[in-house]
Amino acid sequence: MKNKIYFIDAITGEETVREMTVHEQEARDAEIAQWLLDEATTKEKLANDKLVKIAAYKKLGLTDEEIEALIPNDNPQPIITNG
Amino acid sequence: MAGAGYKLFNTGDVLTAAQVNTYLQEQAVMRFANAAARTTALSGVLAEGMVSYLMDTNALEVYDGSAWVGAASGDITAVTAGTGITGGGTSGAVTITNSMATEITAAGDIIVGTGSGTFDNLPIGTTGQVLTADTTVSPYKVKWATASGGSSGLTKITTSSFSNVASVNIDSIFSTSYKSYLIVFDEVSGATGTDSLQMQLRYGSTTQTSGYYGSSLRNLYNVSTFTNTGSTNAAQFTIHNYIGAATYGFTGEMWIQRVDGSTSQVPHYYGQGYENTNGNLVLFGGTAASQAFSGILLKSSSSNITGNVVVYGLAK
Repeated sequence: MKNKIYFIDAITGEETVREMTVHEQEARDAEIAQWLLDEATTKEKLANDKLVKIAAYKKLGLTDEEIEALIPNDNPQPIITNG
Repeated sequence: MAGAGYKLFNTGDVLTAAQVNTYLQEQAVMRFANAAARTTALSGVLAEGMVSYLMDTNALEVYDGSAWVGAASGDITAVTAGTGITGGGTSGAVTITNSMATEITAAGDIIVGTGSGTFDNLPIGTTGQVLTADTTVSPYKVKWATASGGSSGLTKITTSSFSNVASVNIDSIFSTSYKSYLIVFDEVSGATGTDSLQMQLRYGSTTQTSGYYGSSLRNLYNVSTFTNTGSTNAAQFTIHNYIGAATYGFTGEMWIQRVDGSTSQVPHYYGQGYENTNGNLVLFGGTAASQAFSGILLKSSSSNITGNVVVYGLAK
C-alpha cells in the first residue's frame, strides 16, 4: 500500500491528500532505509566509544560502580514508555 | 339602466332594447369623435363606470360618477440610472446594472468609496494582511497592510490537521509580510512512537534535502543528562528524536526566522517542546542551505504521522 502525502497551501487554504507516486514511494523507502542505517551506525559508535572509555577507566584501577557513575547513560529511558 | 352588470341569456330569452342598451352598449368601450359628441350621446344615460375612447385625442377615459377621467394606468414613465447603477430606459424591457457589482473582477475585491458618489475596486491583499485606514493613500484612504497584531503581533497564517500520512507539506506560509514565524505542534504523533520528528524546508514545490545543521536535546525527567541528536549537513533537521505514539504526541513550538518567501536566505530555527507524560524538554536550532524558502515539510523518520500544526507570522 502506498503512503499518502498531505498538502496545504496557506494562501488558498486548499488541502489535498494523495497517494505517493511510484517515484515518491521509492524515494521514501530509500530515505527510511538510510535513516535506519545511520541510526544503527550511530548506536554502534556510541557503544564502541563506551567500551573504550570503560577499558581506559579500568586501566586506571576504577571499580565498575565508579566507572558507571562517570560514564553517562547514552540511551536513557523514561519510566513511562510512550513508544 | 346603465351599468346593469352581467346577465346570462338562455335559449328562448327575449332580448329587449333596454338589455341591449344596458348590458351591451353602455358597458362596452364606446367610441366618440370627441368629448362633445360623447356628452350629447350619453345625455340622460351617463353612469359611473362607463368607458369611452375619444378619437380626436386618442384618450381612453372612465366616468367616475362626476367626471370623465383618464383610465388607470402605470404612472412610471421612465427608469433612470442613479448613483451606482447603469442602464435604464423609457419603453419596453428595461435593464439596469449594479455598477458596484460589475466593478468587482476577482475574488477578494472590495468596493471602496473614492469620493462623494464615486467608488473603485480595491484588490485583495496578501494572506494575513488587514484593511487599514491611511489618509495618504489616494484615492482610497484605506489599504491592505500587515496587522500590527495588537500586543502579541502574531497573526495566524494557517492550520493543518493530518492523519496517518507520510509527509505534511505546508506551503506558501513564508511571505514578505513577516520574517519570523511560530510553528505550533499540537499532539503530533508517529505510527512508530520511537521515530524522530523531522523537518525539511520547501521552496515552491521543491523540498530542500541537504544542508541541515542543528541540535535536538532530549532530557527525561528522571535522567540528569541531555541526549543530543545532531544534524550535520543532513537531509533533514531532527526536531525531536522521540515523536511519541498516538495519545502521547509531541507538543511544542518552533520559531523559524530569516525567511520572507522571496529573498534567498539561510533560516534559523529553534524551539522547545514537551514529550507527553515524561515531562521532557527538547531544544533545537540550526540552519539550512540558502533559498527563498516558502514552506515546510514534516515527517517522521520511518513511519506515518498524525496531528495538528498551526503557523503564525510575527509582525516585523
